[in-house]
Amino acid sequence: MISKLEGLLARVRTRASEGHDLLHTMPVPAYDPAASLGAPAPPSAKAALADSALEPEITVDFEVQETVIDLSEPFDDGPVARPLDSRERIVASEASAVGGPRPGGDELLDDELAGPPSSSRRVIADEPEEQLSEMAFGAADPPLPRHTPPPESGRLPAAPEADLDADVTGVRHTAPTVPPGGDAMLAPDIAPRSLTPQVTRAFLGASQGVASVLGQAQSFAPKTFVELLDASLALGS
Amino acid sequence: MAAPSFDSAQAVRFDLPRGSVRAGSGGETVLVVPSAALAELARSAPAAAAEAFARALGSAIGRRAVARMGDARAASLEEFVTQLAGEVALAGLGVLAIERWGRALVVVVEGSPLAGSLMAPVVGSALEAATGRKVACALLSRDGETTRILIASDGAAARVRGWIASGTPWGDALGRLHGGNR
Repeated sequence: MISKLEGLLARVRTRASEGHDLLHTMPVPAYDPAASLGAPAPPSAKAALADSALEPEITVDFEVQETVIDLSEPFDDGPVARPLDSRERIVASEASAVGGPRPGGDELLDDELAGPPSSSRRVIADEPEEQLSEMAFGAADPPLPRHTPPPESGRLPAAPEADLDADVTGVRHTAPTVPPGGDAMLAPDIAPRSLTPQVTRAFLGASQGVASVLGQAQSFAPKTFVELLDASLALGS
Repeated sequence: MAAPSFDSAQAVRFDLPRGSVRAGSGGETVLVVPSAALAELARSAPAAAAEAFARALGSAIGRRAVARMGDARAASLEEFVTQLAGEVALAGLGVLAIERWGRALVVVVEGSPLAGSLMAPVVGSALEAATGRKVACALLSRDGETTRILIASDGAAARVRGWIASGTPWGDALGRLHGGNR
């Protein structure tokens, strides 16, 4: 019995070392459900190291029962409903993580190939081919910035002090534009133009009844003083 | 047509040997008295006596003016005013002028030493003596040196005096006298 257990322990060590090397050196192979489920599941590397360091003498009296599940056959009831032991769960998770069929996987793949939407603000990464060509042959031209760099903050450098001359003022004299030849020598753009008024007239439509005459204008014009006196005496009578 | 003028030559004659003063073509005797004395007389005398005095003074002025004009009824407005104002000035009663407010005749006297209450009967009586019409006077205003007197009938003058006494401006009173709504 002890010899049988020692043989089993040796097998476990061998497989643990092989699995550790495979995790660090080899890419993850394509998943083969039949092969994975047919072979015994490797123990964890931590447990293997602990076993190799301590090497206790363990006396275990049991029989290993391995269960083989054929995943090639389709399930009728969808996901697994019955409880699985630890090794079955590990194999099932690897199958879903590595290469197993995913629901709606084709549509998701199409979306990833289509690239980000045009409204995305994320920086678009370079294509892998471009990265490889740059690594091999060097970048031909520096890539243009995808975003406008922010303005630089901080103090502005002072302008260099100009050497001012106190005798020089801001007044600048221009050369005479009218040559001594007279008006005939004037350029067309500076020739005097005749001023024309800009007339703004109100639009008044024809109307009737604007004014109404209520009576005759006063036409009293006395010729003599007595005539005026008589008119004044006649008032209020 | 030449503008009328007032001939003041020999208008007042002082006869010093006789101690008399004469005015006008008729040689009417006049007095040269201080205006303050006349004002004191007007204040102390009864109103009817003061008005009688003023009317007598105005009649003399009107007669002398008519003597200058000849036919006063045919005299133009300017000629009449010129001669009447000349006689008022010779009497020392101020500067007379005429204003015509519509059909209303208003006499304006500036710089008169007499009170307005006395100037109204002076002017009225002068016009009656010159024209032969019966006139009534209403004192419109007396502001500073200017006195305005309305020449109208008795009824019209009484209404205007009542309007002015009730606070109506004299301009509005003249408008109401013409039948307006003011």
